[in-house]
Amino acid sequence: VILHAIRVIGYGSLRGRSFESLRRFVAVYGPNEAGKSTLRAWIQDLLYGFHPAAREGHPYAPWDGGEMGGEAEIELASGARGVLRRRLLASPSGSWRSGDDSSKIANRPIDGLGAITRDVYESIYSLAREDLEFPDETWSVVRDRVIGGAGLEGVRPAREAADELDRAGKELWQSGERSKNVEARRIRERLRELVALRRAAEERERELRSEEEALGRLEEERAELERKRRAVVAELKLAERLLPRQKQIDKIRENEEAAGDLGAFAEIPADVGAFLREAEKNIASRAASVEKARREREAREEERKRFDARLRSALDAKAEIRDAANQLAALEGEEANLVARRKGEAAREGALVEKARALLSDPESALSLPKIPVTEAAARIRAYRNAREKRPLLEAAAGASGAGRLLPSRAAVAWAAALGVVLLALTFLAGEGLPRFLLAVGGAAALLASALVALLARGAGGGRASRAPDREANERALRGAREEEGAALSALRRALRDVHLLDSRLEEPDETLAGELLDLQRTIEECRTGRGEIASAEERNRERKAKISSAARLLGVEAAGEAESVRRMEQLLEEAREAERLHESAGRRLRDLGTEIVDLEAEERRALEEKSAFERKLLSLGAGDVAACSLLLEERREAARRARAARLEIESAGESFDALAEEIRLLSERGELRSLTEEEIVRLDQASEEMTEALRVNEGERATERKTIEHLRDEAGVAEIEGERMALREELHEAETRRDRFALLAGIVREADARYRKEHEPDILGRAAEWFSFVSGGRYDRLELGAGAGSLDLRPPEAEGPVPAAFPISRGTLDQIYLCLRLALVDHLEAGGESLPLLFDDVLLHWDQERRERGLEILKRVAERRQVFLFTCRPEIALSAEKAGAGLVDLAPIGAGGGGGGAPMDAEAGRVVP
Amino acid sequence: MTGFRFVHLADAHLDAPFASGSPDVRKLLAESLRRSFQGAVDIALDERVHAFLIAGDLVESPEPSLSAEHFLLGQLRRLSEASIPVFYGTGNHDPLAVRTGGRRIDWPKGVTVYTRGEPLRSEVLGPSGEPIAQVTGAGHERAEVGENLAARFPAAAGPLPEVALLHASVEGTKDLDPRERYAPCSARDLRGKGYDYWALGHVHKRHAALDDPAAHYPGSILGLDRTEIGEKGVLLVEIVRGEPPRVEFRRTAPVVREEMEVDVREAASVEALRRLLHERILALGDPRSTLLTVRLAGTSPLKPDLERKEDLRELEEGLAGEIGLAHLSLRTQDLRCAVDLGRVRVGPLAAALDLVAALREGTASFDPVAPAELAGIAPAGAAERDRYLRSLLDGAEEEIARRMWKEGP
Repeated sequence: VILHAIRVIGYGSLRGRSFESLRRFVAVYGPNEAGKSTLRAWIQDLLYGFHPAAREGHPYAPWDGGEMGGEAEIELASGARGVLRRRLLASPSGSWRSGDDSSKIANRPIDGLGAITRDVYESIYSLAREDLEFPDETWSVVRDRVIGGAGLEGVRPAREAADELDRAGKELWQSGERSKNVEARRIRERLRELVALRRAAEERERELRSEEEALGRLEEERAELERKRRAVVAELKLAERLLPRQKQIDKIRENEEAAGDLGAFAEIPADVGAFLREAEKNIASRAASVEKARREREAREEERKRFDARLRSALDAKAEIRDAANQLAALEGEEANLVARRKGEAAREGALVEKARALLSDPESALSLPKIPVTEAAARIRAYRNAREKRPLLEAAAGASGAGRLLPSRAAVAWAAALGVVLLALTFLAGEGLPRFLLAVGGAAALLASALVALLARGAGGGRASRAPDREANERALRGAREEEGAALSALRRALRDVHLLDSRLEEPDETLAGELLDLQRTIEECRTGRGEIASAEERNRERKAKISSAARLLGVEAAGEAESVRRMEQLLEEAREAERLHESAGRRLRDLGTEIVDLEAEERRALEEKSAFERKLLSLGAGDVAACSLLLEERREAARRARAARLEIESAGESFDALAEEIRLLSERGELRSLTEEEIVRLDQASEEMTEALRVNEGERATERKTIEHLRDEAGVAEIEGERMALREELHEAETRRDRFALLAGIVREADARYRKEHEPDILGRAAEWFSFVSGGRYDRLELGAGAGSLDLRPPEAEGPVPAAFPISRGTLDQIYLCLRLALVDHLEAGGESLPLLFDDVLLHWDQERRERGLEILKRVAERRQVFLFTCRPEIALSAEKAGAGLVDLAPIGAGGGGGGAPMDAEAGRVVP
Repeated sequence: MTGFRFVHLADAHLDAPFASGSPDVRKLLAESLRRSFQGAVDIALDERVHAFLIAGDLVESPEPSLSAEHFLLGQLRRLSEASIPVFYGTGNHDPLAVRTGGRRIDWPKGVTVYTRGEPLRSEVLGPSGEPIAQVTGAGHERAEVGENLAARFPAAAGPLPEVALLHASVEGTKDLDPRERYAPCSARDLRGKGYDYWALGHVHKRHAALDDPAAHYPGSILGLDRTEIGEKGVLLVEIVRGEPPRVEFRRTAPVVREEMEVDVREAASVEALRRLLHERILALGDPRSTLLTVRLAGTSPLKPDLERKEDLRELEEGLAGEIGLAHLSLRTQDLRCAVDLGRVRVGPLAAALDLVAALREGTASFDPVAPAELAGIAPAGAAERDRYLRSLLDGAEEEIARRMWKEGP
């Protein structure tokens, strides 16, 4: 790969810079910070792609966010020439264009780099001064660095790695466990300790069992001692507790015997005299109560007697009394009414007489008249009037015809109309005698008849002159009318024959008469009705009086007037009621009193009997009289009290008297409770103390045993130790396995290294010899490994023997050897692939002039085979390189001079394009 | 309808040693083992079962410590006082039953111990003294019984529920070291006998060896080592003749072991790793009763740090303390160094990586690379040695690269 031009768009400090027409040997000059390292990095990124492949973290990404990347014109080993472009935007991109061919390569390395990875390139192709200096090191170190590590900076010599693995393995395990720090040995030692500890634990376990058994024995011994001690203490305690009780019980029994059975005298109080006085007082009180009740009974009986037959009758007749009172009220009301009515009737009868006076011949007897045939009379009057009214017409007709005289037509009509009116009036007046509608019809007919008569009269008048021949007929009619008139009047008189009417009223009877008769008849009837009602009321009052009188008579309280009679009856009834209430009340009380008296009498008897019984019971003590017996009872009771008090004392101590007595009895029977002498008590106390002491000793022994057992239990048990052993065995196995692994890996590394050397060393040495012969101008033509590969030898052409590549040969020769070895390695790695540019970073900085010139000569020669970039900060080196044929790239501003005080630069070899 | 109800327990391994963690954790485990057994007895009393069956390996060794003996007898006495009969068939850890100080143990009333290989039949009596079930049991007479004891069991007969009690290895059982296949038997041996239930012991993982007839391993009552993960306890069984037995697991272990794998490739620092683990472990649930093993997996630049025991322990203890775990163990065996093997495949390092591949594939010999003396296995044949050495190659490439790459992988 030859880089003919390098152009930068943006890459660190090289933004916008371009390096054109680059030679195969390029000296890049620039003071520190001028961009030498940047250019070296850009060349690597051009060949391998951006690393890292993101702007973030890339050391040369433009800080202002500007475009990053650039291009290079590259010539490949195949002779192909093209332009390689790389950009790093959001992601890296790349392209290769050669003639018309174009391809995208993204961020991949360019083709043909083979096994030369970026790391390898960085390590081997980019050389610094120290990579070519091995001032005091042995060949084996040089060999490790150059060949064993493949010259890679990152790769440690295999020997070192293998040694390290061996060391790691030996820290874990060593044969025979020689080292103290070996982990396996430490574990094994602990395991051996644990074997011993396990044995000890097993021994402890046996000891523990033994101690447990010993403790068990001590426990049994303690139990036996305790039992014995308890027996002694129990005997002492028994004696101490029961003997006083036994005396107490004996005394109680003695007292109880003296007291005897006082059950029968339980009711007899302590103060007999007071009791007897109280009993007598009680008896007297009972007797007084009986007497008082008896007196009340008599009083009550008197009260009952007052409710006699008369009062009972009054109560029985209370309905009648109530009725009499009612009758009285009605009577008085009716009497007041009658006065008014009588007055009214007298007036009405006076009016009747007045009415009768206009009609009757004997008006005073009007009331005694039979019923007036008013209807018939009216009919007769009508008939008469009808006949009477026809007559003038007929007389007029007859007069006109000579036989009679006719009524003027206007008068006839008036008569007819009057008749109709009368009939209609009768219709209303004689309402009760005839059906109204018949009278109405009659009235109407009369009016019609009058109308007809009027017409006839007019006709007759009109025909008078023309009908003279009818005169006779008219006269006949007149006669007939007169007859009819007389007949009607006669009939009227007959009808009113019993009424004794004034004759004057019968001369020309008319409707007025009929009306007056009707009015009179009605008045008569009203008077008769009034008289009847008054008579009825008077009759009722009489009956009432009779009833009141009868009731009063029956009850024996009859008085002059009904009102007084009734008042007396009511008073009697009230009296009877009160008497009855008292009677009943007294009756109830008497019933109670009967019971009370019986009870009181019984109580009185009981009190007497009690007192008597009390005295009998007291006397039954047999001490003589009541006083002596009382004294005896008191003494026996005192004995009982003492016995009870003693029992109470026992029981208040929490003991049951019976149980205690029974216990004492049984213990006495068995001989366990015996009276102890002082000597015996002392001996028992001493035995108790001895046993207590023995128990204390036993307790101490047991505590010691327990402590021993506890101590033994606290120690690790077999299982615990065995657990640790298991864990350690696992640990040991792991350590041994790891050691084997480390040893195996060390063997693998050594074997791989040997194989690598065997495979590559001859080729590298051959190539190095070639380079060495080349750079030494043929002074030496071979490099060979010394015996056992422990040294490197130089062999001049046709020399008799090899010259060791070590001091005292010149430093310059050694420099050449090392450089050739590195170049040989590069060639070896490329093995027919692309020859990549070598990047030398001030490798000649500290070399003297002669050595530097030889070095530059070598680089010049190397550049014949591959492109060489020599980066330097020293202008004299740059100039020397230029002299040696290198093209010069000045990274410092033109004419600005080099850093470090170097001479001004001539930029002929490299053109800097802003 | 109530049938024959019993607690089925096995592999209590009382007094078992615990290799896990610190002395405190071992003490916790030892206490938990007893509490688990006590829990089983509590269940029997609470549920008023008719019997308590122990299918072998009651204790870790036939002669347990005095403390274990006191504990065991105390618990059995509780059952005895509740008139719950105990049927105990010995296993390979307690052949011929528990002895103390060379003496036979004085079992409480109601404990029937089967110590002989010849099965014996026992009646289980109900509350009113009537027989309610039959238990036929056999025991191991020595530590390594190779005979098929199940085959010796008589056929079940009679109307009562019949239970067989045996510490045995039923063929086909996974997770069982072939070297520990004691009293081996086949499913056919169990099927042909007509028992309603085979109360088995020996396999520490709870599972049904057979469904018909029901043959169950209740598993150990506590995770005895870190491989025995999950809840541990006993089986509460009820048998009603003519119906499949009802088998219910009851946890008794106060602490459980759990294991999880955490890919730690995202954790770039020890602090990030601590946070990641904290988050993942908290998701487990109640940590207080958990002894957790976390297998760190994936590639990590922290591998070298985590290989330092002190650093690893500090991380374990710190996390366990923060989260409240009973115990935390971080295993780094599966962890790989974070190495870009493609990048470092240069020079002699590439040769070493190629050689590892060839050794793993068997195309290269271990002879030139193997250490003359191996610590991890006893001198063995070439095949066994190579197998062992090949097992050491896990992560070898990353390890070599880490060792040979100066700047760190």
